[in-house]
Amino acid sequence: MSDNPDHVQREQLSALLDGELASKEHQALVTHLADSPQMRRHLARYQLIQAQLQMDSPQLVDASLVGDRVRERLKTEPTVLTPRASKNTFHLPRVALGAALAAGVAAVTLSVAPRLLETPIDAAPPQTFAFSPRLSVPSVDATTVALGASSMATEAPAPAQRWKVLQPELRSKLDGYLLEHNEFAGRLGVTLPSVHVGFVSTQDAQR
Amino acid sequence: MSALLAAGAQAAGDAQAWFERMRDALHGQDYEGRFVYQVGPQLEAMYVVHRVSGAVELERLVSLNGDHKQVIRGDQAVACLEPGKHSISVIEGLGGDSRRSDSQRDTAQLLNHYQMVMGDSQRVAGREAQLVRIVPRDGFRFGYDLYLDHATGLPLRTVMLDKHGQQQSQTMFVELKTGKDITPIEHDVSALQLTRPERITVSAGVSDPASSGWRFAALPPGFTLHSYRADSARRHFIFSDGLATLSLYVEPLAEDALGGFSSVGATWAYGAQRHGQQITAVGEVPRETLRLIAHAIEPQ
Repeated sequence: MSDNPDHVQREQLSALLDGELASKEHQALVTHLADSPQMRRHLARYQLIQAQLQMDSPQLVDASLVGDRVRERLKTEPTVLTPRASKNTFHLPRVALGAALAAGVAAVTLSVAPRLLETPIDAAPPQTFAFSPRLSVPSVDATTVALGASSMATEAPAPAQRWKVLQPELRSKLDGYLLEHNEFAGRLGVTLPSVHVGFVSTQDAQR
Repeated sequence: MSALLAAGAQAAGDAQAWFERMRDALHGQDYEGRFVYQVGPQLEAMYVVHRVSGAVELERLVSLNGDHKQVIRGDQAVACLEPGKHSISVIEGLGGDSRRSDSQRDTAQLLNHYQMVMGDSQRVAGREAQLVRIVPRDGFRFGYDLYLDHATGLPLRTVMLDKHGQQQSQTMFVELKTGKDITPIEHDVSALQLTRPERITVSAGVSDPASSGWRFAALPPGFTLHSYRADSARRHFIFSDGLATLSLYVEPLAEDALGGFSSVGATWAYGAQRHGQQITAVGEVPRETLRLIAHAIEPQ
């Protein structure tokens, strides 16, 4: 195990993604995330790699394999991003980890992709629950950590909200966003017969 | 072997040429027609008329199902008209020239994230069409099967697919007219001047992203910040990989804010609270891409 504190914390990030972090280490790591934009960038990078791996392998069914595959992928990343395997972390049962997280005080939002290896990534909106400890930095209100969390169902996944039945004020605001997005951004891509086809549609993609 | 490679390169080059021709056609030609739009098992009919007047694109798009919702675009304004409801968005600084320069981004850059492949010729809407397949190289963006009109380059049929080839949506013309015979729409556009809208939204002006106070860490591969608009109420970031696009809105927290996902047509929106602000991402991209970019935002 490395003596470099930053390296150790990045190993812990990998363990966190793997659901292998002890609760004491977990709290310390969250506190450090609150204070360190660099660590948050590392975390975002790891999430991205993990998300890519999940999309590359929709047939995988064992969530515990994700951490191993992330670790393998990270070996090909620049050294500064590559966490070494920790010898000190131990395997917490996923249920115990979920309980430990849920028992904390709301300060950091942990976004959990439910059964993310068994379900196409588009089909499972992340569920959120709150945990954690002693954060004095209000700007870290939603550090997101994607976990393979098949047994961490502390809260049912929030279903996507149907556009047509959103509150009128919210729907009006989103309509405005969509119209503006189509005008300014839609023209960069494939514009179909019109950039506004989706806007005029009475359908939604939820099915 | 070299002959095969040369043939492959020729085919890829042909696919790019067809794709660029389609972009030019969509923004530079007059056309009018009826088409169907499919999301999942649902079908919907629409009517579109598009005219180019100088450097300005004029357009009217009408849903032929349900409430006759329609969008009319003139040179300065875009209006959405619904029975019993009138709203108009006034678009500032959107001349036709700027639109065209936006649409002419380097197609070669797309090849980092998509494969372009020539397919067969087929008959669509009574016209000969060339299939061009745009296949995403990862799951952060969708691909397309484009059936392009031999005569004009217009997309007669467009199928949006995910990385695994699963259809997300499609449009297909059943009737198409081009050239000088299409219905004039100038009177529709000028009618915008007479509209008494309930709500007018003035779009934010273009700004320097360095002044936004925000930065983005770990964007999905290929996505870069394309442009940034801001006013006193909100900030609007536009990201693109050259084909897929999404918008990210940052504004103060409010009660009427989206939490999680919602969709209309094949477009998804994702909302979350980050750093004391409401973040809303909108685009025709996989949901995970929206979520990743929404959570990549950090204070500078």
